Amino acid sequence: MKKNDLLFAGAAVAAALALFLLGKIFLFPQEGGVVSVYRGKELLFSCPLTEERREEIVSPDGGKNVLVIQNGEAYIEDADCPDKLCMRQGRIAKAGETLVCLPHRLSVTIEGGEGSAARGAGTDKNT
Amino acid sequence: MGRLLKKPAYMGLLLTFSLILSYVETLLPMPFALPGMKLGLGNLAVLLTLYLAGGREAFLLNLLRILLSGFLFGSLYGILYSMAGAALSFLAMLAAKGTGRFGVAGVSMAGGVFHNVGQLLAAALIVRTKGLFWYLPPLLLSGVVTGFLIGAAGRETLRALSGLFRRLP
Repeated sequence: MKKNDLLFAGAAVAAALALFLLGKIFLFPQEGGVVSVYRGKELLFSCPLTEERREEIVSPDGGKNVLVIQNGEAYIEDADCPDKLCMRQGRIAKAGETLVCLPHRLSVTIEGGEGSAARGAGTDKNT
Repeated sequence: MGRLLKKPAYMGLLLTFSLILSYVETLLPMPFALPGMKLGLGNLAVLLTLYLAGGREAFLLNLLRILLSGFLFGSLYGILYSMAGAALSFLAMLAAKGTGRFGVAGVSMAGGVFHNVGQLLAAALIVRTKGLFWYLPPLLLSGVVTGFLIGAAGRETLRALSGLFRRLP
């Protein structure tokens, strides 16, 4: 193992840490508020995390995901895609956290509450 | 040794090797939930080809490997993401090897990291949400770890092969 190999590994780890802190401090600082569901860049619906809700989301190609919002957390309860990665991503509650289902082009994002700047920026980017 | 391996028979051997690795990878349980996180065993064959034959051969092997293993073990979506990851990863490995300043592990780590960056970029093009940003740090870290493991395996394999091929006609 050459010295440059170690330097590269160090640089990549440092970049990962820097990006993580950058995201925590500048990009998504607030606690969660609103769950937004997107297909591609189109907003399907959004609702507050405090709501108790069970939503069946059907894609145009027939694919199906069941989103559950409960106890201030959102998760995918069921999906009919083969890999079920969206279900394995677990529960999300903090602003910026996202569940994605690539086969159905679906993403569920927690956006900052109280009409914050982050929420405005988020919706701008997605329109 | 480099020229010897440009023969089609050896290329076929390496391609078969890469497909076996891809198959073995589908058997491995992955405890990590993030999409796109995987060991990347198939890249071992690409790495070996890069060192044993050259850039053009490695590129060809990479392309065929993704198409074949994608249709055999994966899905059309999987091929799309693999292509995006592999394109960036291959360029990174070629560049890292070209500088001559990195060992096999370094070249492989560059491949691992940029494979994950490429896949994330492809995902970002399809699901346009900035939440995907959170995947970047863990994917960078996993690229370093898997790249190192594949690189270490590659270095030892190359060492063993160099002895073997010296004895061939």
